[in-house]
Amino acid sequence: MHEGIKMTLVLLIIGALCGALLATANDVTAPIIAANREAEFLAALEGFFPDVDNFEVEGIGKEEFYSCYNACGDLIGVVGQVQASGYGGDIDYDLAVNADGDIVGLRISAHGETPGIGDVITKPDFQDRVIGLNYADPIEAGVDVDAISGATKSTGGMLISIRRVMDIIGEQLLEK
Amino acid sequence: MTTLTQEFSKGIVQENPVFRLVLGMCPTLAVTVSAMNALGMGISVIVVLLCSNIVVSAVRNVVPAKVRIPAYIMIIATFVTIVEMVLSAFAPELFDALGIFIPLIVVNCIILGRAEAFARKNTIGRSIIDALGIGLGYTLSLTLLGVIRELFGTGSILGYPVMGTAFEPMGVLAVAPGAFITLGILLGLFNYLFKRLGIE
Repeated sequence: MHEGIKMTLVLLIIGALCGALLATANDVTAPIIAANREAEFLAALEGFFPDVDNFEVEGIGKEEFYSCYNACGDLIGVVGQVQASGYGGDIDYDLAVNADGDIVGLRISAHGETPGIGDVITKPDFQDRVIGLNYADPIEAGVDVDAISGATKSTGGMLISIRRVMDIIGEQLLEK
Repeated sequence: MTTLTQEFSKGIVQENPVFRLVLGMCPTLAVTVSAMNALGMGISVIVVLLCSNIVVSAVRNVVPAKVRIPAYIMIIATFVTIVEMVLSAFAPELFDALGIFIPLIVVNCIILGRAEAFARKNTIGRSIIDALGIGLGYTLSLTLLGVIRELFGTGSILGYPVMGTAFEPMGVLAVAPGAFITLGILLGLFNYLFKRLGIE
């Protein structure tokens, strides 16, 4: 009994110390990581729409949509900072759609897909299948886009999410 | 009792984690696509190994033997997570390149192996020397693999092209089979060398 209490206490103390250390490290690094992500996103946004002059942010659900305007104030497109569910959890990605409803850019910002298998979603082969699709297209695995064999969950999850995001962008943001 | 110099150099030669103990193979094969990745991974392992060896050695008389493994895992996981946060904040490109292999340092058998085989039986000072030796041995081995694969696989070293325009890169060295081939050749070479030199 005495031994059991000692074991529990030692593990508890180590766990508490580790937790405190991690919380401190997180406090220090979290703002820097967030700033890095923001800078990366803004660079990507300019990559999608080089003419962007200013943008408006709109939160829909848990996701954020950036409506981009050129210097004349015309809507040139929308970039969604959105999420898909893949094989290894959530996939964070940015989807850029121009004013005609064409997908012009796809950038995976964070994912937990299997290296060498599910991470094909970050490669040009998969991106090329998606870029150029229009809001009016079905965007469905096996219909107008092929899922990639071996990575059906990753690519299929992406396609389901892209369809959903296209509906939001097409119906709520481009129509305005 | 071995001298401190022997304690340090054993990690680089006799007990080299990659070429002698053949431990931690998963990241070794996966991240050595380029010299920079290999170096980054090696340094991350040195940091985690150093911290975990120090703490494991410091608590060696306090932690009951029955729960030592969960205690070690918790200590190692904490340091790995800190390294992950720091890399993500200050070296995002390297962090993206190393990806999943940073969190996987937690289960890298070199680190748990040194805690179990060395740090829990030795003083803090010796554990530091051991961590530096083994960590440096791992880093050097990884960098050697990375340099060879990058040089022949893409014709550059640390991102700088060095092979001239006539060089046709051997693409196979930059992908997974190339890692096995390079590792196999180097393992054979070192085994031969060590036998010739009489090092066991």
